Amino acid sequence: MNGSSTGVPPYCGPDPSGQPAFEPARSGVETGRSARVGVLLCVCGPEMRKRLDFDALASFASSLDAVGHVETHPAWCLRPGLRRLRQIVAEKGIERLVVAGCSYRTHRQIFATALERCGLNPYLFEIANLKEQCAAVHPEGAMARAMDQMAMAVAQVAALEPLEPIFVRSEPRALVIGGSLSGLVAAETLAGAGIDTILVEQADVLGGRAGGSRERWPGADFGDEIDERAAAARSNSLITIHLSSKLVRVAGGPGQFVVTVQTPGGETAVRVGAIVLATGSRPAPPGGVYGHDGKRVRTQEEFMELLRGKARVPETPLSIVMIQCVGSRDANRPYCSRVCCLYAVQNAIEARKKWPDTQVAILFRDLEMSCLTERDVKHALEAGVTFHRYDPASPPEIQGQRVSVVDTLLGRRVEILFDLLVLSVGRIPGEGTAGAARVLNIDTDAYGFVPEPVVRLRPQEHAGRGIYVTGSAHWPASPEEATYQAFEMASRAAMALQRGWLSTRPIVATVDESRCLGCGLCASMCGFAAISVVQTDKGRKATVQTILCKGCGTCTAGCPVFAIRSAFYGDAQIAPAIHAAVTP
Amino acid sequence: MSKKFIGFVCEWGGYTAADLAGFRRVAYPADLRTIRVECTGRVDPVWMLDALIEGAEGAMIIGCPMGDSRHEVGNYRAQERTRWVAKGLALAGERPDRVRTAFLPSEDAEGYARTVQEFSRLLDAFGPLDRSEKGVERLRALREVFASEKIRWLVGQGQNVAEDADAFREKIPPLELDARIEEVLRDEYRRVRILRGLRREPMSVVALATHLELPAQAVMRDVSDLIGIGRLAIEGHGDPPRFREVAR
Repeated sequence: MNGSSTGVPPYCGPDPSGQPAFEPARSGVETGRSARVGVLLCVCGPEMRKRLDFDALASFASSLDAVGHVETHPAWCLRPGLRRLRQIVAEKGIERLVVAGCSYRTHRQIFATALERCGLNPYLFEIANLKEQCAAVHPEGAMARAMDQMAMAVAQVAALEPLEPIFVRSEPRALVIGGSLSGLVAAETLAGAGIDTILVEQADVLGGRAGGSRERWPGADFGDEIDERAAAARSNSLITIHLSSKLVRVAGGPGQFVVTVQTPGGETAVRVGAIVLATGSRPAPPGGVYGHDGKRVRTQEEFMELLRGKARVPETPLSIVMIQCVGSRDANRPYCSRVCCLYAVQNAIEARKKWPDTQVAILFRDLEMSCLTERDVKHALEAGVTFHRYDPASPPEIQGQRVSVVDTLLGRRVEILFDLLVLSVGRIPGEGTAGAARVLNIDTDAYGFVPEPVVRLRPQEHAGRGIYVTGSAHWPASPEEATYQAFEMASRAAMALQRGWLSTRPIVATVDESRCLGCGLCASMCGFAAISVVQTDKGRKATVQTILCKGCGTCTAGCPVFAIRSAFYGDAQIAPAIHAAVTP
Repeated sequence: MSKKFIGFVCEWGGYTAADLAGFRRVAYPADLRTIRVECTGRVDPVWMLDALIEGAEGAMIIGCPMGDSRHEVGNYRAQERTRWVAKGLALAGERPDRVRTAFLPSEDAEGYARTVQEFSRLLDAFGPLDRSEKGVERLRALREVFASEKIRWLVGQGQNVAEDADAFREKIPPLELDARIEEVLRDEYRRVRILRGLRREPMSVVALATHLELPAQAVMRDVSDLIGIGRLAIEGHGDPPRFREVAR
């Protein structure tokens, strides 16, 4: 990032302070023709012995250029094998290694570690998979393939370059977006770990649930807890709170974000190492459904204000009917908001306690009570709350002060008189989520939440980019869940920040500025927003934020002028492998 | 000597599926030679052509399913690039299906074996690639085309435009966009063949056209264009004039 116009100082590359204590010293290895590649043949598995001739393989390997030593062993990956590997490295002057045996995916780490212990670079290593991808699957022709794959691996390894892990300094400061429950807990946790924390809240008051209304939190004492947490945050000297403010710009990357916050007093830029996104969720606007007027027909949240607000209720309701899944779990919003059933049941219990003569009925589709909250259903039944299950195909109908519904459990139509109708309208992302996600350049799902895009393959997607998503911004969460998540995410962020550095494996893309035209095609192809085009003194040039780069090489293969290099999977390594594969 | 073909497998999809096929002992033909990459998006169109030039009968890319990739977009790019290499092969008089892609979940061991099996049979049905001097020269020319700035930019930017919109926020119909890029590809292929022909030895337009088996008129037009952009020059003072490539 040298000479870039964004004002972000250089931060990628080896740790500038010299030899950090956490990095073992490595001996430098010369690249080129002098490379001495050791080939370790592993005789493991019945097919290997039956379908491969190891003597022939060994003599074939010895005949290859660059190969300095060939040895066969029953199991190189076990302790005796690894001990022998150490001896070979010491005695035979081996600098690079090809293991002909198991899968790269299962055994890479074992040999990489062994090489490191021998003082060799762990990236001068390749596996020719002769087991799962050769002997096991080829009743015929395994031997020919085994020789080729081995020759390919040797050609590739001979052309590899030593790679060193990449370190990035991280600023010991964090930004928390959102002053709701999860944001307050996250800020408190970070500050508790001694990290300078900046809390940005869009509203003019802390507490969340759209405008800091403590009455809108479920559970009798939760509002008090929110108030206590807000007060604790205000009095914590490590937490700086910006109200009526929002994040407007982010530059840099993990460890070294430069965030610009718009406050009532103007814009302020600050450098942070991690960002916690805690923008929460809010009830969906009811839009007049079931004659919603905010008085006789209320949302569950508006009902909470009535239930425990300071405002006096004009008259005690005689009969309360709650309808679940209103405008939720339909074609437009097919997801379950997870917390509405919980709130409805808890509020029903509370209402029965507050007004013992009031009837409370809950009309539900599926009662989604997670974990231990299931027992609240029992408590509600004991408290005299009635439950009626309805079919979404024939939802409850309102005629005047009467609700009519087909109870699918009773198998007949039920009619209930009410003077207060309470709607569970489901939840949508907090107001700040869309804006913050846009600024942070992270994708929201179809409904505006920020879950991991491919949770199966990259469960910590956002954390890897220095952004920690917590609470209902991620997906609707109950207050307890939001608290846990905030603790967890803030702890993870704190760990990275306290350590003072971040690291990534060196299989990344680098730009050859002398070739780069600055066309920006690479930036448009990058799935991780790791490439940007910046103005340098030599003109517009692409630059890779190494810590964001996953090394996929999509940019490298698409660059019009071959100005990007992919480490480990470079043209210089693959071309010899292609050649070795098909050369008779 | 049986045929060989190259499989570029991504570590997270193809390679994992291949491992699983091994654990489950799902057999498939042994004429495959795999090269593992981080993501199928790393596979350069040039690599596929290199494989064919060097002696493989085909090249395939096996990666993660669309939308379920560890690297988000790499497989979409690989698919598009392969589509254009296939079109290029058709221009060069070869079977476009000698390069293909397969995207399957890492747990689909049987799918992996089937994919390899099918490709192997397909290549058998095609018979060996034309390895005559002219046949290999056509592939080399194609390789040069896919190493050229113009075509690489078009293939990449074409996909951007097809997915989003062009600089004027207009969406070009995919078929129209394809037709235009294909036109450029055809022109570029012809020009590269002309340049390569004259790189070997200076020739007259008629001799070159005969050599390349192209209409003399088309060659004449290209030669005049290439002189215009300084890629060709007249050699000596002979009649008819002979042309040579200008070294860059």
